[in-house]
Amino acid sequence: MSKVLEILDENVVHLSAKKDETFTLILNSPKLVLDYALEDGFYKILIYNRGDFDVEVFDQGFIKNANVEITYLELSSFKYLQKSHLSILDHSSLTIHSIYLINTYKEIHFDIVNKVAHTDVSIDNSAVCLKNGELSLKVEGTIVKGAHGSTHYQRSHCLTVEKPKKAFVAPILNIDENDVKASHSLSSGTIDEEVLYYMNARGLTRTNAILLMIQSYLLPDEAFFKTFEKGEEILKEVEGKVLALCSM
Amino acid sequence: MLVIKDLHVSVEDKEILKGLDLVVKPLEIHAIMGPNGNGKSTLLQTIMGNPNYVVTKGSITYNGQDVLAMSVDERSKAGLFLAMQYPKEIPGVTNSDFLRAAMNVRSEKPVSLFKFIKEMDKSITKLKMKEDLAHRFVNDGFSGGEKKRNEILQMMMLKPSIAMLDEIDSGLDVDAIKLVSDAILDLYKEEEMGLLVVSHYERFFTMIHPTHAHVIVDGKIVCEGDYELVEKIDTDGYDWLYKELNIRPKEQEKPLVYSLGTCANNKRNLYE
Repeated sequence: MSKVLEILDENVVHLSAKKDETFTLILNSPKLVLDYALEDGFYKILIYNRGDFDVEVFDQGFIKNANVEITYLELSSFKYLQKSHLSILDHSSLTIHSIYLINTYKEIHFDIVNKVAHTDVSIDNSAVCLKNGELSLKVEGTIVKGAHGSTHYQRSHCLTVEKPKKAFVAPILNIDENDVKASHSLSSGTIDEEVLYYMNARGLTRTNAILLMIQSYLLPDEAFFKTFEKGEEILKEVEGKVLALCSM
Repeated sequence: MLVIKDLHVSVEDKEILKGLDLVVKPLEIHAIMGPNGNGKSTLLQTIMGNPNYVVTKGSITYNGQDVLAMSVDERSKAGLFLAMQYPKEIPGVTNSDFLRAAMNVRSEKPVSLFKFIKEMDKSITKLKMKEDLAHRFVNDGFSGGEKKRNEILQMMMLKPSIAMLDEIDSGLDVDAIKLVSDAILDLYKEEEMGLLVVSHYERFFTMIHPTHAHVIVDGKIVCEGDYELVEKIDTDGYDWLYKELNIRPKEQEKPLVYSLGTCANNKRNLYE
């Protein structure tokens, strides 16, 4: 089952479900408070910021006896603040993909907690920082006492293009239990001029080459978008936004 | 037709090419030989427009157009292709996305996906490369030989008019050299290409059989001929040429080695 929620004026959304569902949340409001209560099923959620203004996103809640995948897609040219606090309960797993294209100030804070035993978390953050970009990304994972047999993996990747103002990424793991598996990794890099020359030598302009690298680095493939209602429409918009930002 | 006149090129204020003239016409294969560090790769990189190489004098024209006034991507779209000595890796970008983007910039309409896949599969099979090549990232995790074959695959897809091959045979085993030579010659005949080939090994030249040969020593072409010159150099090396012309090759700069001293324990210190 698939639902689309276009968030315009109302800014508090309760997302609760007790069976398999796919949600596409299209944000077109300056503030969103999202409350999760997801149980007994498999859920895929895409949160896409369509707004042309500064935005704040606060999402919080729990998942219980459920497998949940959440993808955050933020490519606007405006300020963005996101605070995500989620508790993972009974026999649940959470996979987060977050995708940020940054040419202004963006602050993101994940606070994900394995609350009970045998719960799994995987967080994958990809960010491309453009010239005027300023990124602050804090990814805090906690495995509480009693949550034995749990896993918590974080990966953050940051690609900078033409020296942004600031790119700060802090992966944090708070582990208060034995018999768990946890890791965090952070990679950052800049676009190699020699790679750009190689791509130019095949006919791509500098802009085409950077665009291709950013799209490949950042965006999931077309098949991912097809799993969501209005996914193809979002993909077209997202490709347009990447092109517009890279051409600036 | 590619015409190079009195080309002088510097890298970091050091002159590498010191007045080089060359003409390459369609259906000609030019072997570029010479000792290491004397300007062969510099010539090819300069034609392609590598920003590290500065043209201080001279001209390069292609079919009457001023190549030096073109950007690198414009030179590629005009029909120039360089198979690099050290191809770069592009993690995250698949071979198919890269090639399709390169082909799309050359045509008014986007290339049909079906046609593209068909042609790519045909080229992959011809070069006996792995079937999943299209979905792998460009040169990422490729062996040296695979990277070189990937350069030829790109050439087959982009169909240039002038192709420059910079030591394309290095890193290839005997069977792969045969495969690559056949693919190059097939494309050369189909597209009536001009080829500029840098190599040190007669085996490769035997397979592609150059129509012209040039020896570059210390940034200048000091000797020209046909395939017989290639054979003579393979048999006798370059010494006869240095004696005959009373020239010396430019020495390849060796990297400076700094000694950090020894970290071995002094026996006396251990037991005192």
